[in-house]
Amino acid sequence: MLVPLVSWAAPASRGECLFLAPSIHYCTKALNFTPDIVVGDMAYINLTIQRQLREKQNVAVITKCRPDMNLPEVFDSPTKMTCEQGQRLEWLGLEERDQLHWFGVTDPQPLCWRCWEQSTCPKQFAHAPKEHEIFYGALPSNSRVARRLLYQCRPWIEASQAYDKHQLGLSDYFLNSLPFCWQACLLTDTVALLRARALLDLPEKIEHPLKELIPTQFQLPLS
Amino acid sequence: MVKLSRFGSAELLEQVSPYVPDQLLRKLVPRHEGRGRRPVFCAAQLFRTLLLSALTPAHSFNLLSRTLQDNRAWRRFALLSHRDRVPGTRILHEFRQKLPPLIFRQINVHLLLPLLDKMGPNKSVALIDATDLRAATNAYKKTRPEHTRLIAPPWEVAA
Repeated sequence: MLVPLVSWAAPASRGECLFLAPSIHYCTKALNFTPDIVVGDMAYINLTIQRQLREKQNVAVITKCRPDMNLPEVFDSPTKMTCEQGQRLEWLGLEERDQLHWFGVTDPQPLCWRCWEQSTCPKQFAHAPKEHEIFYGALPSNSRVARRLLYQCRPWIEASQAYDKHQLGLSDYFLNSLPFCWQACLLTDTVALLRARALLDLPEKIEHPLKELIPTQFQLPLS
Repeated sequence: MVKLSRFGSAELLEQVSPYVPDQLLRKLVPRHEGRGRRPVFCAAQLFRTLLLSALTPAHSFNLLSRTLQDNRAWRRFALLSHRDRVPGTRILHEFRQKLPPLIFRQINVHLLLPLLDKMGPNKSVALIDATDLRAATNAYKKTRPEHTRLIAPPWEVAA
């Protein structure tokens, strides 16, 4: 379930990235809650802000990379990392003490035993998050978690925003001032929160999975 | 799968009604207690009527105040007992003027905190996105951000 944490209303001339750090700051201050991971689109790419959030607030900001971005040497694509000889490398985890991401081979049938560099290969490779905030960052872009968040979870927000906009009539409002726009946006959040509260407290009905298909005159008790 | 009732239905209003923070609203927007006539409607009633503009297909105040008289379920949600005593368009507009974003934020925080408390120890994920709303004004068109008049003090950014 998605619930709105914080909303901002601003003229379209304001960049979206301006609201990334204040949103997290607001969550920490007003809600006493800091999200561990924030997933945004390419409009939220700002390596300095992403680095500050990672280092100071321990928040991982995950975004896709822009098509014109230069990939680090070890990346074939934003979600695929390989060694010099072409063996795919997967993220093994972050070592907190040294702040290093470790990558290694998890393939059950690797090419390594045929590799001519096998005797000198370290097998596992470390990269610091600060090398590149998008590709390494707090969660490397080739990790399974990052891939799943970007390609499976991220599209949810667009659908839920469209639902609120059309179902609650936000696009029908005659928004002739910024204060009124603020009120309309925040009122929409209130409605979404009320619906979420009501939904969570509804008793769960256990219905037959084929209820819609079962005819209404299923039984004929004659006795 | 648990589902809420259809949007705009009386059932949905009944399901949502217990969660409207009436006490908090009365505290945030207290009734005028100076000289002059006593207001007919309290903040909770007016805020619930505002909510109706989002929860029902009647998005305009004109339509809402006219429809309220005929719709008992809507009046029950807005805590308006008398058929002929419903807030008019002017009252709703004046009430909305009294609500700065800060009050809306406080209401939303009040509603949000119990939801956050229900979260387990798992990692929390926030999705961030922007969406456009068509403005019926040219006031901000082709203006630089620094020329936009602020309606609140600049946000304090964690340094």
